Amino acid sequence: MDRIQFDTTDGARILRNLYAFAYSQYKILYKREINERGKSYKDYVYDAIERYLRVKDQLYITTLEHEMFLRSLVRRSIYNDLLPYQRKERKTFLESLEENHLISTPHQHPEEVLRNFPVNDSSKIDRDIMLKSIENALKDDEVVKKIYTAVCIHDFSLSNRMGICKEFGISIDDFNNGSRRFMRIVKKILNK
Amino acid sequence: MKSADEKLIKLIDEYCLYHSSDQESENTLREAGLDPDQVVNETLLQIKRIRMKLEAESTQKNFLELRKNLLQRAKSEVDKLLSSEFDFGQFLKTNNINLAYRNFETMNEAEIREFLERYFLLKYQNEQNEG
Repeated sequence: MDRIQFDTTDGARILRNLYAFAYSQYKILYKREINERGKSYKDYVYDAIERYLRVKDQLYITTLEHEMFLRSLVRRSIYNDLLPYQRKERKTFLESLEENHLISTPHQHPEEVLRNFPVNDSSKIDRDIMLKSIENALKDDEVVKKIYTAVCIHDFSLSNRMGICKEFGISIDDFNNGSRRFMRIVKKILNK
Repeated sequence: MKSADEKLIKLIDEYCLYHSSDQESENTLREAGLDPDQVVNETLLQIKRIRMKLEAESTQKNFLELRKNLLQRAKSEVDKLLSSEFDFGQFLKTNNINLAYRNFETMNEAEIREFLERYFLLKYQNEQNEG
């Protein structure tokens, strides 16, 4: 049972990645410094760490899974706070853990969260337009189109480079350059 | 066929994972105007605060748990005492207890019970502290 040692080089790496993860997600979903609940992305990082420290001794998982678990805590809190107050399901943290078998599902129905997102909220994401814009932006780039199909239609993870290259007939170099272009397109549109 | 929401969620996830990977997270933080080393140091400080808070919570929880156990022990002792022939006056005298401004003869059974429970709880707590 390896736990994260935050005050080591590896711990620093995990914290940097967690911060970057929270920042990226928060920026897309809230598009402001402080959200309606008075929280910044830092608060989500600190909350996740506190929750993690409370339960870490009960987790029988590997270090990598500890890291994923921390990310899932940030992700779930950020998505859950998008829900209108009155519709938010009140579940205890431990209930959520049990439901998710600790880490098997890293989120709590984010699709539903997006669907319930308040229509007149100034931070509302115009999801259809966003997706269309991304699809339009990559339509002339064959490699990026293949990567998009792999990720969004066939559920590949972008980190599964070998799998995508093999399945979609892309060379490693093309994939590396293509995934960078893909992320630039997504970044431009998601952060608009 | 995946819905637009499902595709968008996947894109957001992949985007965030990409930008928080070992290779990209430093760039992501710098682009956000953050110093990666400072971020780590600030978070380590916060972790220290969280750990202190958790330790305080744990101490408080242990204290309450201990007090609950001792109170239960005190209650059992009082039950045992009161179930037999019990002379409160003699008990006070034997244990050299001064009631201070109270007349033990006017105390009813509930008051005696409450007094005894407090007396034994205090006694057990002192024993615990000394031990």
